[in-house]
Amino acid sequence: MLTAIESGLRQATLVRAARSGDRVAFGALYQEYGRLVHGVLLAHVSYQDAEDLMQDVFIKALERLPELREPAAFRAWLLAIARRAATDHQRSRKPVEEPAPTLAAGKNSQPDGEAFAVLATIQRLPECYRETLVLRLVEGMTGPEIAERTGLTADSVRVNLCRGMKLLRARLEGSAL
Amino acid sequence: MNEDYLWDRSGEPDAGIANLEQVLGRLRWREKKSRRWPWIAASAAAAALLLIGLSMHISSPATSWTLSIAGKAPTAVRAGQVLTQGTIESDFVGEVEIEPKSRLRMLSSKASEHRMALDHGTIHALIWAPPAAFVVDTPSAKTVDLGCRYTLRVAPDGAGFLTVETGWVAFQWKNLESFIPAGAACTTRPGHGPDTPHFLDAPQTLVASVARFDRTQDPQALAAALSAARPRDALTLWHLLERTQGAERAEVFDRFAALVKLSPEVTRDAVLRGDPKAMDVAWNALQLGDTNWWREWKRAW
Repeated sequence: MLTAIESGLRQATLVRAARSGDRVAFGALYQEYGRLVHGVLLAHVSYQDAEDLMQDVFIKALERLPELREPAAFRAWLLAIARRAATDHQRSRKPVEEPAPTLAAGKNSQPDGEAFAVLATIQRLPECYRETLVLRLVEGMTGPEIAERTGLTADSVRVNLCRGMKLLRARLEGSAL
Repeated sequence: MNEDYLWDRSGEPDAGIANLEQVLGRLRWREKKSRRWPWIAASAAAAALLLIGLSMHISSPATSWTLSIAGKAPTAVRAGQVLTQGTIESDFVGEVEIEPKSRLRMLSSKASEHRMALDHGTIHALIWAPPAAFVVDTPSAKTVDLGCRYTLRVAPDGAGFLTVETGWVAFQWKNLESFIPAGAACTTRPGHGPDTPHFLDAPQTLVASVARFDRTQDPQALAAALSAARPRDALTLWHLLERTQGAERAEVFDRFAALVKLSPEVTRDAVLRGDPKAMDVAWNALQLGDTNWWREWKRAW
């Protein structure tokens, strides 16, 4: 397990190498941050769109990496690209009236229907709870990991998790899940 | 609700949370080798090995490429094989989509260089191999990948047209070369080689004037191109510096220097006599990336 300092140094080394054209280093950054970016995207867009946007986010990061002067800012910078990609995608999407998801309906429709239904419920929660819950429940991160990866304080993450989970349970129960 | 379990999975597992983890875990990001991200997957795998200190020697087999055509089973590509459609992929090199009715020949496939020839038609290449490891010959220039995604079209008369989406591509023919960054395009002609590249959003006057100058060396066309150039078009002007001599080069340099902020070590005299170091430093003023990283590979051509 790397300490925060070791992790920061490793990130800075990889970012500098990637910035000078080392695609192996960029691949390592992709491996390191793929889960985080995927979680952030999934808090806002559908599973399929998140898969597609992963490519856009990392291509944009690769293109714009020379503009990033401070390697330590890479994580926050990458998250900003991901959030913007999700926002742009939502703006460009035609509004579709989606039926209220239920686990029962999901089970009968397709293998991942249940997961999609719960995800859709999370996406309808207030903004501040979505990313934290997706990172915890979908991407399997712990609270301390989420705090370290997103730059939020541990207290904020803990509060978001607890309140978000209570709301999520209430919504799922309210839809007879 | 067991808040400790929610926080860091400590304590007694909370059945409700564990169930949600199990259900939603199906949507988790996997480090799979996706066809959409083969270069990332390959790079990540290589990086993982490098980072744990293993000495890894990537030696691609003679035929590391696989051809996929819709509705057919993938087949290995042989050296010398002519490909007219489909997608070829090599784990350590990249992916090339061949538009129907194209003619792409696999010339050689070695660990250090994968070489093909596009006689006519269109290919879309996404390359994750190290720069200069993927080369496509056309009837009028050699295309050397210095980046990762581009489209190359060759007309029946051998003329080529290249657009770059990400990274860099170099066109080379004899002593003439063009470096084409993302968002730019370049043509190449049989018996002449690469023309002067331009950004796709460049003013039409500039594009037309540069094309006329490439073909006719008309001084009026050069003057019109210089006049129409925006700061971003300094890319085009840098290439014109290498394609002009004497008074014309001086004219180009003066306009170039007005559009970009040059380092004091780039003197007018040094550029006019074609000093390579001054040209490199002038390139760096374009803020498209330092020359150092591609000069290393360029020498191996």
